[in-house]
Amino acid sequence: MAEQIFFYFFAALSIVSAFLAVTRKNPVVSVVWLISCMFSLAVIYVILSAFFLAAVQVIVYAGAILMLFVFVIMMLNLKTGMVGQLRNLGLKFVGLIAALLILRQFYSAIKGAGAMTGLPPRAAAGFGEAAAVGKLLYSQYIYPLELMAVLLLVAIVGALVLAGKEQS
Amino acid sequence: MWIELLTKVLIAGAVLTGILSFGGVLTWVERKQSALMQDRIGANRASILGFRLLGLFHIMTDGIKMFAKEEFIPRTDHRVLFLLAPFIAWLFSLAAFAVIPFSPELTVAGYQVTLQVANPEIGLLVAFAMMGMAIYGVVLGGWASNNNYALLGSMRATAQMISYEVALAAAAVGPLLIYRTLNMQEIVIRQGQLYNGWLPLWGIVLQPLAFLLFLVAGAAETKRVPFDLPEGESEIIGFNLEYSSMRFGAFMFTDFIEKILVACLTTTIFLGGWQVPWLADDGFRLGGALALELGPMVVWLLRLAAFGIKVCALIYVLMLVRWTLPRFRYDQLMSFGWKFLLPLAFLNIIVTAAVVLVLNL
Repeated sequence: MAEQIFFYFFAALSIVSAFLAVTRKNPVVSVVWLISCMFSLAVIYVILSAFFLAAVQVIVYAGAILMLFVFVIMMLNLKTGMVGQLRNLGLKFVGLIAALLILRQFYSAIKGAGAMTGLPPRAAAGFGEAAAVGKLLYSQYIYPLELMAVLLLVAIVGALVLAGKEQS
Repeated sequence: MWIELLTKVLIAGAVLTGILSFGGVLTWVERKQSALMQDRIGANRASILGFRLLGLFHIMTDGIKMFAKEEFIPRTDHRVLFLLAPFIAWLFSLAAFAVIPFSPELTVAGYQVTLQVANPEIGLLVAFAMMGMAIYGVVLGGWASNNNYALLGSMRATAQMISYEVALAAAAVGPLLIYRTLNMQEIVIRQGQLYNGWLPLWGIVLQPLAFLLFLVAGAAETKRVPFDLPEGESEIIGFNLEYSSMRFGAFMFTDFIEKILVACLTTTIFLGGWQVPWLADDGFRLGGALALELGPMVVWLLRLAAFGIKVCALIYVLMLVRWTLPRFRYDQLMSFGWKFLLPLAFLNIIVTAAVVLVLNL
């Protein structure tokens, strides 16, 4: 009962926030709604017993990445209406294709889910905890994980090169 | 179900009231202690019917003053964010206390009672997540003020807090590798062992470097001297420039709450939480004939008191530091965090991991 109330509240909040994040004119206000969206998603993860993922969602997405968004937007001093104007026709076309692909994905996900009644059954004990996720990551998914680490390293080196360019 | 819900609400209420009252008392302690260190008498004017009570009534007068003052709201496009910002910081700082284990479990009339609102498996991560979210109050408050000085102040504060948050989390990884759990109660229980039968194996004994790093990063995270650039009340213009009345008070009070939070986290991870040295579940065990039988209720109360004493001691140390050291310059602050604290924390992680692996702890 309590879970259902939480689910419907935060599911609705995440959708409304996501919508507002796209439609707001001011970039900082958009990011605030995006934070709200990410936080609601974390609550939904908790309801689905993915506790570790929920914590990481808040720490990494809502906490760190969106904080950097806010930071960069303030740094660049973006004013109302300065983002979101795609004048380039090629970019508009790419955006359209991406939107269609996402719609297609939504359609197949909803169709594949079938008729759902009530909440899914409870996950087994230990599911979604840090230990279970860690074991999976470092055994079955070790190669993707290492690749991701290399990708992040490349990004860090790239950032250092870009930041150090003007000083030397 | 209703009884469980009721006990949870009661425990949450007790923790909330306790933290808020303690925060209020700390405002007085801070004034008195700074006075002591600067050879002054300190706040002692407020009185009720002639009783001054060491100036303790200043807590009340401060509150009344904050609420009674006129609130000035600057002309801004983002009035809602401006009004909300102090409470974002406040709310998330308080939410982090939900996972702090103030006491062990006690069975009363068949019910498990513990002064901990929630005990999730990922407890420590929840605390870090809430601390991370609390930073938004500072950022959005400074931005919504529609004042360039406040904006600069909030960017300075944010840069500092996200930098030291990384060091804070990295410093906590070392002990976590040894405890092998993120659950807050479990972390405390793991620290109950004795080395050679006399030395309590607390986190500070196993991980002295991590303890220092955590405390320093924690002081920076809560914007304490020598890391108080975000506020620097009298010298630097901070993010809270445009705030007045109780909204300013909320920002200031959040600092005290966060200070308690950092002290609670440090106590839990490094100072054995509610563990009392040589106190087992049934009384003191000092080895040999030296033993003292105690009932479960007495043991529980002793442990609760131990947590409080450790937190108070840590806060006192942080206050001593505050009135001793001068403030960092901004570039010194940044290079100290990124080039000194963080590499040391990483080194600590690597060495700890190797030792844990070799000794198979």
